[in-house]
Amino acid sequence: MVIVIRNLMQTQCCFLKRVKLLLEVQMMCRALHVHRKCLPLSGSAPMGTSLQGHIATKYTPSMRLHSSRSPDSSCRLSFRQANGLGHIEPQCWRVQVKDFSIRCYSRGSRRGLERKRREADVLDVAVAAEQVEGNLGETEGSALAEYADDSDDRLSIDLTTTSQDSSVDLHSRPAADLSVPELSRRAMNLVPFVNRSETLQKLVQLGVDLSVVQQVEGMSTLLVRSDFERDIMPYIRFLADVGVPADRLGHVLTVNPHILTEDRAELEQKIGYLVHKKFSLQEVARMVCRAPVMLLMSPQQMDQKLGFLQQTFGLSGPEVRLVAVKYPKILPYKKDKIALTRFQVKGFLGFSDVEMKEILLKEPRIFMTENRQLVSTFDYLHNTMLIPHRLLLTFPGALTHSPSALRTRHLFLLARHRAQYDPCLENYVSLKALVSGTDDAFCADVVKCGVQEFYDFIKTL
Amino acid sequence: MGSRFSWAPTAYKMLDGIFCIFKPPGLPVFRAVESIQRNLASDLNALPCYEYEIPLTRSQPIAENETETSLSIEAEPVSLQNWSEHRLVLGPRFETSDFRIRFVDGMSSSASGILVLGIGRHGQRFIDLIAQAKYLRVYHLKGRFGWATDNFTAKGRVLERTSYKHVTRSKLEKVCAAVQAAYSKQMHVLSGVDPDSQEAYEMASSGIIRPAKRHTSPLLYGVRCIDFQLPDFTLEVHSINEQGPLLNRLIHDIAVKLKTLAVCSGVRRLRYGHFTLDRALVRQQWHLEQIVDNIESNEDLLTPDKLLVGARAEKVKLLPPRGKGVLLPGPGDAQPDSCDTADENVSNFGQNSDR
Repeated sequence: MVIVIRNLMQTQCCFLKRVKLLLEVQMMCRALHVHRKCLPLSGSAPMGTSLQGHIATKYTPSMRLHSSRSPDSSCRLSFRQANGLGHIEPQCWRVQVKDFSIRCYSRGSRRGLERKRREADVLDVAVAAEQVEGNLGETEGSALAEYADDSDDRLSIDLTTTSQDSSVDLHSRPAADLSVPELSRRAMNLVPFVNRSETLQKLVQLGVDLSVVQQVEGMSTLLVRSDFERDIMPYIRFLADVGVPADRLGHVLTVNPHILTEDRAELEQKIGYLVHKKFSLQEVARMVCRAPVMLLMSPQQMDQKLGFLQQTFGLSGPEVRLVAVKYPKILPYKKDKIALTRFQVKGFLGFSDVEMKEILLKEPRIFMTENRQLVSTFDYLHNTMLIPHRLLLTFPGALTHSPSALRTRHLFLLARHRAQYDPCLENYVSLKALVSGTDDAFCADVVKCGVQEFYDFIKTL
Repeated sequence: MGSRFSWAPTAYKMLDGIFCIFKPPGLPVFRAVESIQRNLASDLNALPCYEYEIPLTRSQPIAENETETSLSIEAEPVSLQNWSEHRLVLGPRFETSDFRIRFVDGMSSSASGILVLGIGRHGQRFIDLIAQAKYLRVYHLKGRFGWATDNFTAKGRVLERTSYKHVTRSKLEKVCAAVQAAYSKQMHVLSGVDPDSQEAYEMASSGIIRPAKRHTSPLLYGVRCIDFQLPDFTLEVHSINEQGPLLNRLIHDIAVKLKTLAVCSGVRRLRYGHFTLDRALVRQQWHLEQIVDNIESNEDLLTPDKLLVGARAEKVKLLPPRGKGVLLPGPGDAQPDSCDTADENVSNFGQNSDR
């Protein structure tokens, strides 16, 4: 949709009037429920921009006003129809647009429409709505014709700068005639193309989140230009051959759309490498689902990472595979960071090599958590709650929890005289029961009280 | 889906008003606000946000799309007409920046207690009114004798150590009363009325004497010792326009008068005007449904007679007497957490005469 606001008055368009006009446009946008994703296409006005459109939020669109004293001011606000305009059907918002134009005129009609015409002291607001799909409605044109002097003038788009030739092209022709690459020059996201492009529709049906994918550089251009059968289908077949279930295909492509730019043979090589390393196909499929970024690593890189894990932690072959399958995100994770965390776990937390290996096998995620949180959680568990290392090994997942959540539960147990973490004594509370589960489950199963008592206790801290 | 909402924009519109949370210690206020914004965005995005997501079995039509007539219950979910309006194309509908949250009278990150927040258009307006009302705040300050630090809290750098065996409860109470008395003159100065006038008498008899302006120097209306187990002690402080460092310093000053040293080991705000702890949402409850419920339940506090107490002309009774029903027995707190009404608070001023 393009709103063209033309000021015929030349010199007498004062600042105040522009502000009023701005408010009108704001009201209209509010009435239209312009979604925030409806991005401004351009606020192009020649020779000293008078008015620039910028929609900030979806309910209260705000416009930025650039005032200039230049005599020429054919202001122009244009918005890309990004999402079919919120929740209003095209018929509805056409009516709204009509209302808007009437309102703009009726404001001036206090002084008399005739006088306005005579003096040409009019803010001639012409609203031309071009939908990407449809054309301008007849009703709107007739409604405007009642008020405007010259209908040709109203619907034509007046751009005098030569630097914006492309936009003249785009807007003087109906959008439906434009090819997709032509449109792509102007769009800021994939939204305008989805209704036209079968490829994008099929990707959405697969479950690919285009709003995420379009943030990857160059990916939206690739998707708009590609043909589903020709360019994307081979990769989907490949993923299906690997064993990725159909409902996870969208997730894999959302997280790692770069798969579509990879060479098919190379992808097969990577899978072949994993199979060669005695991963079963089910395991490979599971790894691809959980860490699709893994497919960007070359076989050499994968080999290095697996070897690094094996050497650093002293794992056997099946153990390496176990870790990789259990937490495949560790494969693309940086080696330096794993080594640093390992150093901290060994040097500061005081776990031995054998214990670290056990931790890695039980909870590989610990070696990918943020160091500071890991240390403070351990500090609370070990120094305040007095849980020894060997007990921490039974449930290393406790180390990934935040210290504040641990603290509230531990203090509540203390207040109830139930903070007993020694498995050899009665009323033993296991670490797993302490950290996992919802508050309801924790109160009912461990503390044996209502959850409201727990919340009341928290308020005394 | 266990939510009682079936359409996210409707739920979004209900997020408009005042709610109060219990800020846990150690969490900065802005982090708490961010956390609430994140929770709200994810809760709303879990609801149906786009029209094709509306369950076909819904009983009543959507209220906000009156113009939409073509949407029928028989509409097939598969035949999506407008592909551009799809969650996977437009992305999640609500972002954290969609929730404008303001708070009044924040606290330091180490303090805990009730925090009043406003969300939405009405919330922003009422937050201003609440700020202008200059509500009385009640704090529990935990102190510990024995050493002094550079920032008066227990976590600061230790500057000096002393003994504290000579301190008794009665000595501490005497000093507390002296501190309270020192502020009673300040009270009249800041209220802007002559202490000997009829107006001042009426003001004092109808409630507490509030400062005339929003931002003044701190005023303490009551300082009492409610718990004393050497080396720990707890003070209950009623105040207006106080700031976090002042409360920490208060502990230090009191200890110096007792010829010893002390640090402040905890600050907890029990009450903010009419907002009491039983209304507050703990961190686990910072979610859409609880916040909407809280906003609704707080509407009875947004009446003119409660919001306009800060104006000097108002002679309304400040806080209606309420039962001491809010007892939260804590682990170490042998005493009940009393939430005194202002009337009782005023009666404390009688103790000032002896100093």
